[in-house]
Amino acid sequence: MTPPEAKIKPRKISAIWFVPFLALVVGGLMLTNHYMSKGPEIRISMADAEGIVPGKTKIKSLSVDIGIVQNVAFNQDFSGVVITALIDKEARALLREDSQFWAVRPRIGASGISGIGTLLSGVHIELSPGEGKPGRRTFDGMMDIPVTPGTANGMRISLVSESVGALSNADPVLHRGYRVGRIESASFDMNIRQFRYQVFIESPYHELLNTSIRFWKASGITVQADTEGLALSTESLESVISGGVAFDLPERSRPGESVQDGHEYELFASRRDAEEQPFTYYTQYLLLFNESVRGLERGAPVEYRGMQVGSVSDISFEYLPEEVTLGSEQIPIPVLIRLDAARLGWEDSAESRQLLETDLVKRVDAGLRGSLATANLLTGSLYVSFDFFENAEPGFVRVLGDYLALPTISTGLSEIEKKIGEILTTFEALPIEESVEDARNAIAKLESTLGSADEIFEKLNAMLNDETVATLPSTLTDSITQLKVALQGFSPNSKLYQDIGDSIEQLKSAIEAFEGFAQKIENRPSSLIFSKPAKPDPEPKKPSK
Amino acid sequence: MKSIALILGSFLLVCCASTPRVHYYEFSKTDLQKTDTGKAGRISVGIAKIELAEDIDIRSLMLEKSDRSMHTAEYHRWQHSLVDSIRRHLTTELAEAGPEFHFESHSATSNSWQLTIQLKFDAFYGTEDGRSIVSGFWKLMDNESDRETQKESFKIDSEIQRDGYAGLVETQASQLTRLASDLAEAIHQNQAEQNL
Repeated sequence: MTPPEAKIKPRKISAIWFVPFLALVVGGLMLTNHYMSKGPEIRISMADAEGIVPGKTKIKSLSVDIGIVQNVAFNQDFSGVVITALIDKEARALLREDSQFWAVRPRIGASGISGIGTLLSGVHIELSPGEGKPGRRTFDGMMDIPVTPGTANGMRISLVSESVGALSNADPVLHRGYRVGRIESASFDMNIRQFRYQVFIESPYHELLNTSIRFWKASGITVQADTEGLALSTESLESVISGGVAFDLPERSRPGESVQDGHEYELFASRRDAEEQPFTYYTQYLLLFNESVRGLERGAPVEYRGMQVGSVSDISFEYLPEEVTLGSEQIPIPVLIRLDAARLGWEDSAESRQLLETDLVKRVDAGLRGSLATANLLTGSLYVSFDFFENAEPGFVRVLGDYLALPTISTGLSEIEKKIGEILTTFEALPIEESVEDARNAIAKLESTLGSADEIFEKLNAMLNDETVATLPSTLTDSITQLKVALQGFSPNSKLYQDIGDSIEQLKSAIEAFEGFAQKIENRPSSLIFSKPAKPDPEPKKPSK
Repeated sequence: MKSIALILGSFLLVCCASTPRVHYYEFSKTDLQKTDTGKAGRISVGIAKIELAEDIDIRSLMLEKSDRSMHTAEYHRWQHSLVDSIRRHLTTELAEAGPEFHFESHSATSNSWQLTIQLKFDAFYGTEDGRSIVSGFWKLMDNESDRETQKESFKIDSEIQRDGYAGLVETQASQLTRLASDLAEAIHQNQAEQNL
């Protein structure tokens, strides 16, 4: 017998299970609704959390609340904090790749006062929405308002300088006194010992930038005194207070080529320095001088027959290779100069620079030589002068270390300097103080003498006023007339003079006769009684033909 | 006594009778005043100073004998002093050689003279063999500028034209005439240079 087939009755799910199922569905719906209605949670890294309170500090954008800080915690290495904030669902689209967060606090700075409202409301975190791809959830927050909004249009460039410091973030960038940008960051590179500044130039002023543009520090007041008077100039009041950077096209330059984002410019200390180096393309040469370069400074002009063609870049033995230092009797002084092709009227371009280098080789063959010249005899300042010397020793452009060297010629400047020094030494040795003292004594004696002379003149005046003296001239005239009459009797033409002459002549004849007589008596005393027989004089005879 | 007096007297007469006669000489008899026509408009030239060397500044004529010794003549003498004789003769001859000039002569310089001639004679004698030697030098002075314009030495050696001291004096006179001619030429030349 076939066992009867058992009938199994299907087990039915109890209705009680509907309750938890329903609860599950409702819960899921609630959870989904919760997540669907909740905004994104973001993490912002900051240096510190001053004034930020979880559950109270708000996240704002354009003064509209878009979230709230939920938590503040240290980062992993405890070097900062990580702020967790919940952003409203409606503000989700503001979270982009280039969004910026910063804490807004009361701030007083060179660029003004900001965040006053937070004195009462407390610190809040500001969001600057970007334009990048949405979906970013972790950000690096800033402790202060960003210099440049993330959405700002313009160009970022770099300024480098070896000496110009004291510039800060947010310092203005000026063009002819008008603010066209800001310094975004300032740093100092220890390795190359250079200041480096990142600068943002706002649109449309970034179109002013080209390769010929020069930047200089615009802080302070420039006072220039020259023969035309005193000139005072500033870039702007803001730059006077907080400093800043200015740029412009140098006067003698033409606009260069356009630049791209990230272009690097040299920052000059002053506009004057910038104007002295107005050209971009230049070539550097070494000059070796066998005479003193005392008075030659960096920046001194390099001239060709009075026209500036460059400037002195540096004076240092570091440019002198060892073989030159050790191999020569006299160690020459190396002077590094730069020659600007554009100063010759050529285009400020790489091609002109190449042309200048090629042309200089020919010129040196023709006798072009560099020499030191005196710019100012009083200060002893020097400059480098180029000219052609017909009798110069042969020279050529040669490689010396990292540079090309141009031949130089001595102009005897040291000899002139030596002679001037000797003159000054002699002048210094003059007993000027003693002479002044002697002169002072002499003047004192002269004053005393003049006093005595005054007394004498007074007495003389009184004497001349006397009647007796007044008649003296006429008496003298009479006496002179009488004397003249008397002397006329003794003149060569007078009878007395002739008589005296005749008498003297007769006396002379008598003496001669007596001399003959006396000689005769002496030779023959008896001749007084017995005369010698007369002997006639010898007669001259007419020569016979 | 009477006889003694007669002997002495006769002796004295013999002595006196044997003494040669003294001859006196002069260069010329020309009267200076006759040659001078006045100084108006003419350049005045003075002969100021004539010096003689000491050995010839005597009244006797000098003769160099054949043995080179100098003989001072006892019986041949100058009428006036030699200086006066030379001055007188030179002035006369200069007036004839340079009639455009007015010549004056006295030992002192006059302010009215424009030119002055100074002379010095080193030799003024004859020789026994019939020559006459006159030498010395002269200077021409410009009184306006008070400077010496010319100075020349001279030596004139001439033969005498007849025997005796008279012939010597005639030759010396002609030598002085030649000297005057040279002086006049120098004065002419000086004036020509001044006019340039």
